[in-house]
Amino acid sequence: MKVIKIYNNNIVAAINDNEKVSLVTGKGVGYHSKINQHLELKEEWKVFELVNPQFDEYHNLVDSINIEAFSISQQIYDIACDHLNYEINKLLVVVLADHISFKIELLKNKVRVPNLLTAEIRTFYPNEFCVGEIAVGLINKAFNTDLDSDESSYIAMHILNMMVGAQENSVFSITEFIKVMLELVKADFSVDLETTAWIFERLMIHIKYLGQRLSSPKAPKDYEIDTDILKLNETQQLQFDQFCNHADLIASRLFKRSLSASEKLYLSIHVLRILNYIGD
Amino acid sequence: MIIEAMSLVGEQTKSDDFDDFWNRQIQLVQGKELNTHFQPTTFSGQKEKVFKVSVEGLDGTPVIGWYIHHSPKPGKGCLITTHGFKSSRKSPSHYAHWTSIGYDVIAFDVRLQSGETGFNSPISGPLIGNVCTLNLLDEESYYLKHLYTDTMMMIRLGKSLGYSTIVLEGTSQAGGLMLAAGALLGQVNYILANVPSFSDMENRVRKGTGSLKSIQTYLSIHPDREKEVMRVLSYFDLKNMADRIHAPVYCSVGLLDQTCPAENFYPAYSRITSPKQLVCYPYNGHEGGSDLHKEKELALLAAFIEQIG
Repeated sequence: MKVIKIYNNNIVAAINDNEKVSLVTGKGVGYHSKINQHLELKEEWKVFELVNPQFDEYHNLVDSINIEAFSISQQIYDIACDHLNYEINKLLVVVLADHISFKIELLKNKVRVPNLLTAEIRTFYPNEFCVGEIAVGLINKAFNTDLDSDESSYIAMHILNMMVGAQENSVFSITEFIKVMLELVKADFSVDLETTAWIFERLMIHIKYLGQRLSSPKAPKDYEIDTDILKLNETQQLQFDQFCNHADLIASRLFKRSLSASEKLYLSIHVLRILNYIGD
Repeated sequence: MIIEAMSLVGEQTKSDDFDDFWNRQIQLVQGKELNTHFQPTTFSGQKEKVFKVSVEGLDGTPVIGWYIHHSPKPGKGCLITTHGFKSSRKSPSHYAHWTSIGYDVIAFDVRLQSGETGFNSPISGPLIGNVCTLNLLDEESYYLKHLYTDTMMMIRLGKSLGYSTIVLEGTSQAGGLMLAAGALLGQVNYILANVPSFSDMENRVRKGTGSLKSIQTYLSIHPDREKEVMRVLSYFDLKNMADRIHAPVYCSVGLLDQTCPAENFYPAYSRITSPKQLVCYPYNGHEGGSDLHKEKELALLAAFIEQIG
């Protein structure tokens, strides 16, 4: 790798033989480097690969990076890795740095973009939302801004999209899926779901998992199943059939996929548990 | 009288493997996944937001607490605290004095007391009087081992949330836990402990003071197990670990305290080698200096936070 820009003692930009530009971070990496010299990577340093620009464009790219935003993004990435129990793509650092720089520019021009999904993100993804809140605190402190929970939700959404294995932008569809499905349960079964109750949280998690499965490009194998295990009477059977048909329409609209028989059963079991719980 | 009492250093009671035991526990704490779960909570504070948070203890028990943070900008440091014996973390407003001077707060429920934290480990020992006798015959599973390692996990939580300044604060049981976690894991910038428990435990058990009365009762039923019990307690005695504290310490005692007597704290205090200060309240019992002392703590921490910028 060859050093092409030194930002500070701890961050440099470097280009490899395949003309891929990376930011290299670590204690003293900038202090010991010189422009156009070979960079011997140390194990404790971190390498963040950027997009693959045209060779004559990379100077523009490295010049356009807001290095303070990049440093904060790195902190946010570390906090997210500590608190979310899934693997997060390192690209998040670069994506967030770009997002933060853009947000700061917008604020300078007095432009605020509300996040219409804030309430849903706060309820459906509390861990990611909390990381978002901490991130917003760091950004506000560094840039003397007053970003609020709408921004926490944007950051939570970026994190969710960078979950290893997640489909690009699937978080929008999954969040919408959870929201609409919960409304559907309320409407089809005339139940009032308290969002703070543990039983609601469980149902929400199961719907979230179903949404994640539906957003996967590969449809999972379906199995022969016996729906009699639910032991529904005739009226209930009709009610659940209608609910599953509605759910199927929602899945088709959001994920361009139909629910398999086992997915319908999965959904029915969890809704039935809610109904039994409420009925107790 | 104070000087006389402070000369009561007492003997250390460490087992040969004391350091190995704790170094192993510290390694487990450092290697443990936090498995955090956050739940946003509505709170009427003007500048603070509150999350209910849980972090897994070494045995997988979710240790539940509040995470109170300033918004839109974070606090300058994080204060970690918990409650006295048999109490709970109470409501977020209970910590308003700390947030008022610029600290974010993590306050957690100790296992099996009045709060929400349970206990996932098998219980094989006696339950006489209170939880202090749970798994009493084995230091690896003893109730206090979980409390000490849970408190260390809370320091890890504070660090993982990006705080470079961590202050530990507590009264009675909580004071003892904070001194222990500060001694064992370190990584903290200040420790405030009032009328602290868990020091000079042999003598406290003999006199049956405070929560350790239950162990005295246990030994009245099983006098033949005294040596075994005292050996286990030695791993959790502050006087055996106080010399590991590196952070500055600000403590208080009530000289009429019959729950956590001042003379039982001196053996630990006298072994602290970091900068330290002890405020004695000659006419007070376990309440110590109460609000008057709280004001001193607030002034001290406000100045400290200014100093660190």
